[in-house]
Amino acid sequence: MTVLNANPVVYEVSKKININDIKYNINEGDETREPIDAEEIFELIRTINDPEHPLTLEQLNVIRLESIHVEDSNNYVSVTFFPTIPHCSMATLIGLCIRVRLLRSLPSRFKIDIFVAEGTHQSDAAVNKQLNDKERVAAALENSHLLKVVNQCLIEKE
Amino acid sequence: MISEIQTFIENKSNTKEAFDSLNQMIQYVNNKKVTILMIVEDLSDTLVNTDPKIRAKGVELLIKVFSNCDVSIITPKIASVILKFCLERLNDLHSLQSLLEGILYITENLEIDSEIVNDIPKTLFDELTIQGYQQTVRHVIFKIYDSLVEKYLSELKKIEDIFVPGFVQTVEGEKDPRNIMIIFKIIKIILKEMNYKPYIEDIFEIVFCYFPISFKSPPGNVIKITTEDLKNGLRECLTAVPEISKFAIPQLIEKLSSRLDNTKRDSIDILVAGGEKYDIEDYINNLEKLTEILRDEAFDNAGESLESLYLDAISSFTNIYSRGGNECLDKYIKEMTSKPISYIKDYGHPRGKFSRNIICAVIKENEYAFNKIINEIFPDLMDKIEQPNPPSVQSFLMEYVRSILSIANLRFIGKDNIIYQYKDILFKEFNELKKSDDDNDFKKDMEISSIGGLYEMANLEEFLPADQIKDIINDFNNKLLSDSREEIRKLCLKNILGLSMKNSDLITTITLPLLYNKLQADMIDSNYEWVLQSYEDITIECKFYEDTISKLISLYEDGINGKQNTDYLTKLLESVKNIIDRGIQKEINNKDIIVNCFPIFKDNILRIVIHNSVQQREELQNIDIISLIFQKFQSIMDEDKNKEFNEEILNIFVNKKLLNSMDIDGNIEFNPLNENSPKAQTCLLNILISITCNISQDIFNNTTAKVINEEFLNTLVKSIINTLNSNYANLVSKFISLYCIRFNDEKCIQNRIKAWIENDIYSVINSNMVFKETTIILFSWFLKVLFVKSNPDVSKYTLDLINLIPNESHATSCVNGMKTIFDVETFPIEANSLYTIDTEFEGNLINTLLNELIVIYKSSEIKNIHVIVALGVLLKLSNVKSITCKEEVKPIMLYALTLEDSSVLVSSLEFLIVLTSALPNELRSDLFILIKYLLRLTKAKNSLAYTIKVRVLSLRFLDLISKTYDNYELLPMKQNVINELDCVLDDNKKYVRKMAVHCRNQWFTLVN
Repeated sequence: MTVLNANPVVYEVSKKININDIKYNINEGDETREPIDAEEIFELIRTINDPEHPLTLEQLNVIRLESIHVEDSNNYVSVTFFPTIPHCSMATLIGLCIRVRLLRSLPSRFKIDIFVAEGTHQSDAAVNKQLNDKERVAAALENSHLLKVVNQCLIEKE
Repeated sequence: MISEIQTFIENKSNTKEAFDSLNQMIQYVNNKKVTILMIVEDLSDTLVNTDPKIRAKGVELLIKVFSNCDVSIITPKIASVILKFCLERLNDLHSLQSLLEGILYITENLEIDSEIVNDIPKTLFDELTIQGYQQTVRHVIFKIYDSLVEKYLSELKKIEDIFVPGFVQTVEGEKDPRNIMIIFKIIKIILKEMNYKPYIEDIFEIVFCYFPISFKSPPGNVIKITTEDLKNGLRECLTAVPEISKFAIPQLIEKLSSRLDNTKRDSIDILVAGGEKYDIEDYINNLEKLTEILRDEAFDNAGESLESLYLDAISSFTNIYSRGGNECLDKYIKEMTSKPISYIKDYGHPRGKFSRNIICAVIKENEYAFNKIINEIFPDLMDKIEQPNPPSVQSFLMEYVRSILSIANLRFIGKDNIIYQYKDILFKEFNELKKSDDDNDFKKDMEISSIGGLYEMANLEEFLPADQIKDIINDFNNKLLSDSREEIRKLCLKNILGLSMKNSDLITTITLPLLYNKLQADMIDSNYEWVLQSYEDITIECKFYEDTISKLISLYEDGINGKQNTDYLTKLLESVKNIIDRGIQKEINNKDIIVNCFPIFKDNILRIVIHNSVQQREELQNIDIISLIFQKFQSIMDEDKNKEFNEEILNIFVNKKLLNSMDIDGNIEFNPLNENSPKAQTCLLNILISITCNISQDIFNNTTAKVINEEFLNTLVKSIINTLNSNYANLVSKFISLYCIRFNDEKCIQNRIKAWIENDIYSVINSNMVFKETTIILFSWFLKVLFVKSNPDVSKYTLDLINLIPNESHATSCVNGMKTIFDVETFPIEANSLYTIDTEFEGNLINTLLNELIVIYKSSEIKNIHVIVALGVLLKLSNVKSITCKEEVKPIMLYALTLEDSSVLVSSLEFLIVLTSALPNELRSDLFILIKYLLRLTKAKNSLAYTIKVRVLSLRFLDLISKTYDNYELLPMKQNVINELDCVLDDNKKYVRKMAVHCRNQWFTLVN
C-alpha cells in the first residue's frame, strides 16, 4: 500500500503522562461532580495512532482541543477532525477510531457526533454521513479485519 | 546413551521427550560420564545417514549438547574438531542451521587457533550463497561475521585480500535490518583497518543501495533497531574515507532534487558530514551543480520545515569550501549569493526575505566570507535605510541589519570592520524604529527588530559608549516589567541575560533593584511569578547570589509580618532554594561563592522563624523548605563550617542561647524542647532534626553527643510521657530516636532505651491512665532504634505494642507506631546513609508480628477492623516474598474487601496489589471472587466508604490483573468487567473516570 501523505507535518505535543505516575491530590471528602469537559475528551482521543504513520492524531494535528464540543448535562459530544490532506482515504477510518474510542470510554448516556471539518476533505459530506450512521458503524465493527485495524490504532504506546 | 540419542532423533525437537533426552545427555557430559567425542562416535552412523532428516537431527543433537555443556569441559582440541566438522559439512543444506549455530557458538565463546579462524570466512564465502537462505539462517551467518570481526580482527587482516572482496560480494542485497547493522559495522571496520582501496567502488555500491533509509520500525520494535541507528550506520560508512567522495558526491547531489523530503534531508546530512573527510576536489568539481540545487531548494522550501535544513547546510558548505582556499571559497560565495543579492537590491522582491536568509547563512560561520560580503553590501544597505522608506521596506531592511549584527557578534569582529563606521546611524535608526507611531502591520516586527538590533550593538566590543548601553538596558528593564505582551517580555529577559556577561555592574545596579522594588510593591500582581522568575534568572547569570538571597529573605519576613498566605511565602523560599540549587550547578568549581551566602541566609532565617515563634504567632508551614535549603548548604560546606553550624544550632535549641544578632524580645521564652511550647516553636524542631541527620558522624560525636547528655534525654523522655501534646511528642521522640541511632556507644544506649521502656513506658501503658497516646508514640520511636540496631528484645516489645491494638482508644496510635518502626522514609534523609537494616532480622520480626496479629484476629469474637488495618500496614511495609503466613493472611485480606471502612479497604487493596505484582500465583485461584469484590468497590453509589482512593485503587488493581494473568483465565470474566465498568465511566471525579477508561480499554484488548 502506498502511503498517501508520505511526509506529514509533525506537531509538537504535550508529554504523555503515565497514568500511574499522576499524583492525584485526593481530597477524600469532596465528592462534588467534576463535569466531563473538552479537555477530558481530548485526553481520550489524543493518543489514537494514525493508521498510516507511527504518529498520534495529536502529533498530526488531526484533532484539536478547540474543535471538541461537550455538553455534559445534555449528554452530547461532538468531535470535528482535520484530515492532513483533502483526498485522504483514511478519513473514515480515523473517524471510526475516534468513535470507537469514545464509545468505549464515555458513559452510554452520551450521543456522539464525529465530523470531518468542512472544506478539509473533498468528500466531507459523504464521510460525515457514513460516520454518523449508527447502522453502518455497527456493521463496520462486525467486520473482524476492520476491528483489528481499529484496535491497532487504539493501542496506547508506552 | 544410545537410547537418549534414539529418543531425540525419533521425536520432534520441541517435544518434551526430545528435550529431556537432550538435557540428560548434557548432564552426562557435565558430570564427565561421557565425552563429546564419545557422542560423536555413537552418532557416527546417524551423521552419515542417507536420510537427510535423520542426518540433520544427528547434527542438531551434537551441536546442542556441545553448545550447552560447561565451557570448562571443552578443550581447544575438541573445539577445533567440531569447528572443522561444521565447516566441512556446510554444503549439507538440511543441517545448515545447526552447523552455523555451532560455528557461531565456537567463535563467540571459545578461543580458537588463528589458522582455523581464517578458514571460517573462506569456507563461508565458498560454500554459502547468503541470499538464498531464510532469514534466521542469514542472521546466524551475519552474527558469525560479527563475532569474527569483534574477536579476531588481527587474524582477518592477514587475509584481507580474500576477506574484503569476499565479504563485499556475499552480503549484497541483504534486507534484514539486524544484518544491515552488522554490514555497516563491518564495512566501517574494513574502511578503517584493511586495504579497501581496490574494492572501493564495490563497497560504495553495497552501502549506497540502502540510501535513503526508509525503515519503519515494526510495532513493539522487538529488534530494538531504530531508523536513526540505520541512518547513522549508513552515514558513518559513507563518510569514513576520502576515496568514497568521487562516487558519493554526484549521487547525493542528484538525490537532493528528489521528490521526498526525507531523501533530501539524508543527502544533505551525508554531504555535510563528509565535509571533513571527503576529497575537496570532488566538492569543487561539483560546485556549480551543488550551489544551484541548494539555492533553488532553499527558495522553493522557504517558509517550510526544510528551510532551516538548507540554510544550515549552506553555512556548513562555506566552511567545507574554505578548505579549498580563498579562490575556491570566492567561487562558492559568488555562486551562492549573486542572485540573492540582486533580488534584495530592489527591496520589493517577494523572495527578499529568503534571499536575506541565504546571504546570512553563507556568511554565518566563516570570517572570510563575512568580511567579503559585508564590504560588498553594507554601504548600500546603510544608504538605503537612511532614506525615507515605506514601513514594509524599512522593517525588512532593519531585520536584515539585525541579522548581520547578530552574525558580527558570533564572529567577534574587530574595530576595523566596516560596520563600526556606521555605528551612529545604526543606533539612531534602531531607536527610531521602535518609535514608529503608525499603527501598521509591521509595528510589532519593527519593535522586535529594534530590541534585537539594540541588543546586538550593545554586545559588540566597544561599539557603543557606556551611556548608550545604559539607555538600552533601561529600555529593556521597562519592557521586562511592564510590557503586556509575553513575547516582548521574554525577549527582553533573554537580552538582559545576554548582556549580563559584559555589563554585570549595570544590570545588578539597575535591573535587579527594579525587580526587587516591583516584588515589594505588588504581591498579588499576576506578573508576580514572572518577575520572581526573572529575578532568579538574572541573579544566577550575574552571580549576584548574596544580595538577592538577603533581599528575598527580607521579602519573606515582610510577608510573615503582613500575614501573607502560605503559597506566597512558599514561592519566595522556593525561589531561594532554586537560586542555591542552580548556583551550585553553575559554580561547580567555585562553590565558595554559594557558601558565602550561608551566613546571611542562616542568621536571617533563624532570626525570622524564631522571632515569629516567640511572638506566639501561627505555625509556619514552610519549615520543610527551610530545612531543605540548610541541607543544600550543608552538602557544599566543609567539615569545619558544618561543625560550627551544628554547634550554633545546638546552642539555640538545646542551650537556648540565642545569637546576639537575633535581638529577640518576645512574649514568651524560646524553648521548643518544652512540652508547653506553642506549635509555632515545636515545628522548628524539624530544622534541628534535618541538620542532625545531615552532619557527619565525626561532627555528631564531637558536638551533638557532647551537648546532649543522659540527664537531658531523661528530661525529654519524662516530658513526653507527661504531656498530651502529641505533635510535640512525635517531633521530640523522632529527635531522640535519631540521636540514639547515631550515638556511637550502641550497647549503652540500647540498655538505656530498655530501661526507659521497662520503667517509664510500661508503667504508663499498664496503668489505667487514659492518656497513653504520647507514650505510645515515644515507645514506637524507641522500638525503631532497637529494630534498626537488630536488638533481639525488639520482638518482645513490639508484640506488647501490637497487643494494644484491640483497644479502640489506642488502635490508631499503635498502627501509626508500626508505620514508624518499619517505614524507611521517616527521616528527612535517605535511610541508607543513616543505618542499614538486617533484612533477615526484619523478615523474622515481621513474620512474628503477623502471626501474633492473626492470632489476635482469630481469637476476638467481633472482627476488629483495626487489627486488619494493622495487618495491611505491616504487609505493605514488608517484603511480600518473605512472608511465611500468606495462606492465613489472604482470606483475611479478601474478607476485608467486603467491609465498609475506607482505611481497611485501602490497606487491604494496597497489600493485595503488591502481592499480585510480586507473586501472581498466590491469587490465581481467587480471581473470580476478587474481581467481583473489586467491581463492587469501584462504584461510589454502593457505599460512603468507597472513597476516591478506594475506587482508584480498585481500578488500578483491575488494570494490574488484566496485565498479570493469562487471557484464557480472564476471558470468562471480560464481558462482565466491561459491563460493570460502564457506570464507573460516569463517576463524579475526573481522575476516577480516567482510571476507569484506562482499565476498561485494557480489558477490551484481551482477546483469544
